[in-house]
Amino acid sequence: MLRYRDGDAGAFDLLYARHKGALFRYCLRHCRQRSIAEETFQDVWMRVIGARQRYQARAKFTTWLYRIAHNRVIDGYRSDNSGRIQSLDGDESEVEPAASPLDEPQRRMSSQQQATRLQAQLATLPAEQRDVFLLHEEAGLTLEAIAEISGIGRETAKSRLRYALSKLRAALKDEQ
Amino acid sequence: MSPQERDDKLLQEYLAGDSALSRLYRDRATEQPDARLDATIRARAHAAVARDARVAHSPFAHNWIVPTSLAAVLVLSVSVVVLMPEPVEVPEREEAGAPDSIPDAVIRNALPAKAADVEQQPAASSTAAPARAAKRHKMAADEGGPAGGGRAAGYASDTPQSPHKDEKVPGEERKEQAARGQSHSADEAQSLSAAPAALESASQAAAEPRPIPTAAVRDDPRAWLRFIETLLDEQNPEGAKSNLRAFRSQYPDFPLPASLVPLAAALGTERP
Repeated sequence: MLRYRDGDAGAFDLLYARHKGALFRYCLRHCRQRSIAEETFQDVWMRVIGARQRYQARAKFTTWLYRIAHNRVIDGYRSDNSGRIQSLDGDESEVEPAASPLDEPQRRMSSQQQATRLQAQLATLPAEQRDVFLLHEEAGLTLEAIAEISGIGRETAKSRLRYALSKLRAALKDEQ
Repeated sequence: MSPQERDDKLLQEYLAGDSALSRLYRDRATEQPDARLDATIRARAHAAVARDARVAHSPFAHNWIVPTSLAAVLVLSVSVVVLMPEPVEVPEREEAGAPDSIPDAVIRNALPAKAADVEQQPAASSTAAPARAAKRHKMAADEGGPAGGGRAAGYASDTPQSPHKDEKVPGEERKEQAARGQSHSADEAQSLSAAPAALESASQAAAEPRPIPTAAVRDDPRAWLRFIETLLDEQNPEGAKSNLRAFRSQYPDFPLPASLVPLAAALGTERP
């Protein structure tokens, strides 16, 4: 990013290639619709490009990038009144997994089916628990970094992640 | 192992990055943005860098903004100061009897005769003396010399010091007139040396609106009439009128030259 800030356009290509998949999936898991995810994804990168001259290497680029993405996703939640995406604000209540085709009579799922089930279950998580899970899975961030990005304490982030993992495991175990 | 302890153990395994749940998620997490979207974002990023480069190489880049602005302000300020017209100083009239700062305009009104004309007319020497005195005073003022009371005091004496050597002093004129065989009376000699007195009258004129000839001129009716004619030539009709009125009161029967008859008729000073 420092090289790109100093005028090396090729450095941006490397940066983009390294982070585009994970960031796109982060947006897609939150927004659920591909068109909205693409819009959010592009907007995040536009903010990165626009803020290049103010960039300072005080933290990892990944942390900076996902803070932008996190804020953009929150903006999307706040501005969206259609219910297409769930709110990421404050609701710590336990949300029961929604009914899904996997609630049909139990059968032993293949690995691919389990993965599909995992993604479906992930979509049912409260947004803040989903966010913590995605920040760890897609961005590879530590609990400290996740807490910094989300503006919460480390223990809160840890608690959210624990809830998310417990629900995902429970859903997968139930289906087996 | 309690459920809480079991969750913590599973959380530690998950954070270590080697959990079955992570592997399961990553098996299906393969979505990528479209190539079109990739191209769009990369193009925007490259365009931003190119725009930065253009701005950096522009002659008006941020490094030049401050010095260029300062230079422009400086040039503008100097131009305004240089091109600003100087304020016209209006000479203030001094109190009567203070010869330190006699306005040039007052002197010209009081002593309107041209030096060249006077030089060519020996008979007009009585009016030329005040003119030379005024000219001398003005030249001294133009040269930055002391135009104040010191110089005026010098003219008040009988041997004034001329700042120009080629200019005839009253004593020299007197010798030339004697050589020409003209009979000069004591009054004429007095009129020739009347420059200091003329300056004195000029200083009085600073406080009076009308030019007043010297006593020597007033004693010579012909010289006084020439003085009045000179005033007319100098476009000073008011001064000419006042002098002609005074002349008529002193010399009621003295014949007027043809050039002054219309003025006298206008004043109504002539007897039918």
